Amino acid sequence: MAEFSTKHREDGEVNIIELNGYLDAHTAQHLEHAISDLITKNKYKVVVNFEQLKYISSAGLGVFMAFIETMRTNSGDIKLAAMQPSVYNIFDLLGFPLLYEIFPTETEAVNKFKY
Amino acid sequence: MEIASKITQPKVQWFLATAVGLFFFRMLFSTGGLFISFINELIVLGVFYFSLLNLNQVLLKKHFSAMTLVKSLLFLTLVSILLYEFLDGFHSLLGVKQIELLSSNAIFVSLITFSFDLLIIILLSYLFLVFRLLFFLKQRKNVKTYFTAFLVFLVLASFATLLDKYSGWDFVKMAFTANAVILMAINSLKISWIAFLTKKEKKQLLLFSFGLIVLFGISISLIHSDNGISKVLNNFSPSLSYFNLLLNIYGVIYFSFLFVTTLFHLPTAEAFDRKATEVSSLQILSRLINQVLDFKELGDTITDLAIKVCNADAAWIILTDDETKTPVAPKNIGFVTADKIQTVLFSQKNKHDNKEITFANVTVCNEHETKNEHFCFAASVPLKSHNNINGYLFVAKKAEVPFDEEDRNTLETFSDYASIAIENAKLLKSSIEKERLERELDVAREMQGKLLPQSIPDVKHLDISSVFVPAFEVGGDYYDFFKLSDDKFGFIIADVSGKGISAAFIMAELRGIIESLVMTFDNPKDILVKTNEIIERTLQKKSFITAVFGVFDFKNEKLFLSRAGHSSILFIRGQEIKEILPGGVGLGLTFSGKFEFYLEEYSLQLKENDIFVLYTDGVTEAKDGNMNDFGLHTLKKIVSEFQTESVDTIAKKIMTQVSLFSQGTPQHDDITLLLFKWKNNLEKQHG
Repeated sequence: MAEFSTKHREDGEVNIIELNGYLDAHTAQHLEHAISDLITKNKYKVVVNFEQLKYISSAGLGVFMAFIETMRTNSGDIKLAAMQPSVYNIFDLLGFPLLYEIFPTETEAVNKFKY
Repeated sequence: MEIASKITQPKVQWFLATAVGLFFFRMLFSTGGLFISFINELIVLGVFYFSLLNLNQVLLKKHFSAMTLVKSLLFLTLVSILLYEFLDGFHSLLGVKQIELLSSNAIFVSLITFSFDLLIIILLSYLFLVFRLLFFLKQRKNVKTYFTAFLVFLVLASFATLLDKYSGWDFVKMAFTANAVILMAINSLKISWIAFLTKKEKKQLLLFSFGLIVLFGISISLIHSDNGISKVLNNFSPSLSYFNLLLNIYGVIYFSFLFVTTLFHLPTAEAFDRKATEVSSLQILSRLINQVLDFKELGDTITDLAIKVCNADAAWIILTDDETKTPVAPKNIGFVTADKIQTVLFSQKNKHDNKEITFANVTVCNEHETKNEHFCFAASVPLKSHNNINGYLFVAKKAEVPFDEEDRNTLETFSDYASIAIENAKLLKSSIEKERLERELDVAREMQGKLLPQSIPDVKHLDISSVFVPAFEVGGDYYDFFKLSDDKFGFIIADVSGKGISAAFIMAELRGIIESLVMTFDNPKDILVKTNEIIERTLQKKSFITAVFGVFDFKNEKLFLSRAGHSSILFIRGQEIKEILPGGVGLGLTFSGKFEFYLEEYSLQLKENDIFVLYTDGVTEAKDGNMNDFGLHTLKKIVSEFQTESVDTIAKKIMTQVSLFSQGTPQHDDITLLLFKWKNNLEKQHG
């Protein structure tokens, strides 16, 4: 039912994952694979672009929690960017902005890694 | 059993009756004219007929094959030859006087002779039956006419012997005999059953038919020559004697044909054998399709049969959903060699169509391999179902002859059956898995239901209402009430991330933690901070819990609460509706000091008729057919509209609207609603 896909790009050292569609308990695995793929390649600097994401469930949020520690201990991070208001609201309610870096645009997030 | 004996008994009686009748008839009319002889022959025919019926019944109960029939023929001819020899001896013992003795009513001698005659009748009828069975073996077309015609001429020719005494009538017997012999030759061509024999059986048959030709020849010479046997038989019944002769001639003709045909069939016997194994293998497999519960067992059967049907030495399967490409049910091959051969075949495959059978010379793989695993040729065939490739079947052989066109066809047919079987096994497995999950969810729902408050506590100053509707997949919602002291009343609403049994399990854990914490703490922040510390041990990295813990202080008429990442609390006072949203991150998001650092303590001085509405996201995220959310906005609208009503009514109104909104879409998350209305003036409430 719920459609979900990811796209991977690289901008120098930074890996950009674009999300598209509905991220819920059933599609979360897909994103998990995408991120753990990066870890096996020792890539720890990740920007997730939420521009095309329409919905995120609690299981979807859990994916970022699962990996954030690994990224940070390897001097990397997961930075979130370009969320639609409805999606941002869910992150906000949970207190994510206090623990994660969330940027209005992808460029800002990428630049944060660079400078 | 009883019924069978009831049916057979009269026939045995008839046989005995006719036999006894025959005996007395012969005692009374030892010599006579044509009429007496004719009656004699008729009674002999009767005895023969009833013997035939009785034996037929016995034979039909047995399982027989072509080879057992031929063997019984061998046995019968041997016995009859022995009998003739014995009879011959008996006859010469009595000397030529025998006929005179018989006519002078020496009962003893005639009784013995008669028993011999009877034995010959039985043997002959048995012989005839076996011939008949052989004739009808593996005949598809209706060939009954041929056999009946043969039988008719056989009987007519036999009866024509009655005319032997009158010269000039010879031609009748000759004509019937000629017809019978022609039909014998025609019937001897109906031997298609030899095609179904294995090579070994054909060789045996060659030997047997040669033996039978000789034996039938001997018995013809015994019957036909002018010795004692023919005299005894002719004396008893000339027709029977002639019938015997004709049957033996049939035997010679039939087995001569058989011998030659088998000889010609022998070179192709091996090919036929192979085809037969293929057919039987496919039969086994098609039976397997419907009775497979064990995937490993199925794999073993498939590889076993694959080796048989295409003359390979090794076989194995790999499944496409297994990324490691580990061989399943490998036969006569190690993982390492199998992997090498796979690589060669897959590189070949890319050049051609992926969905086709692929052959390759794999001698290159033999380096560093033990002699045991020297394979020269290999083939792979996709296991398809509904255009999906479920896996590949591999076969490899050591011989330096490549797989031929026939192997290819066989492998193709075989793989079709194998794919269906594998598909069935997969479907079965997934449906079992599904059922298991459903049962697991039943348990989770039941567990959750039992852990929630069974009734709403009766508390002064507060009207309370709660609604809980579990989702099919179990969302892990939790709420509870606590009497902290005489003046303090606590409550919690929480939502565990994820679904199913794991969410229900965490919810149970959370309940345990909160239950014990409320015994020592009465401050919402303290309770949530401690909970976060303790739950670290249970919670997976990707799981978290959102919660609101609140405490009503009756003495100071205050509400204290803290929010750990949970949705806002709706607060209605007078005409105003507000969202209470103190800062705080979800439980399990961080186990550092940050959790405590960000968790705010909120407090509010209560006023008469203050309403608080707490909910989980199952309410606001209830979906309609177009994936739209029910939304916080709608929830707020309903609450303000009915704020003057009782909390129960407000809850009911909300639920009605939610179910109207999400009509036709399955509820994807638990729904929990918690409503409180503050009553300062107790007098008024009770009045």
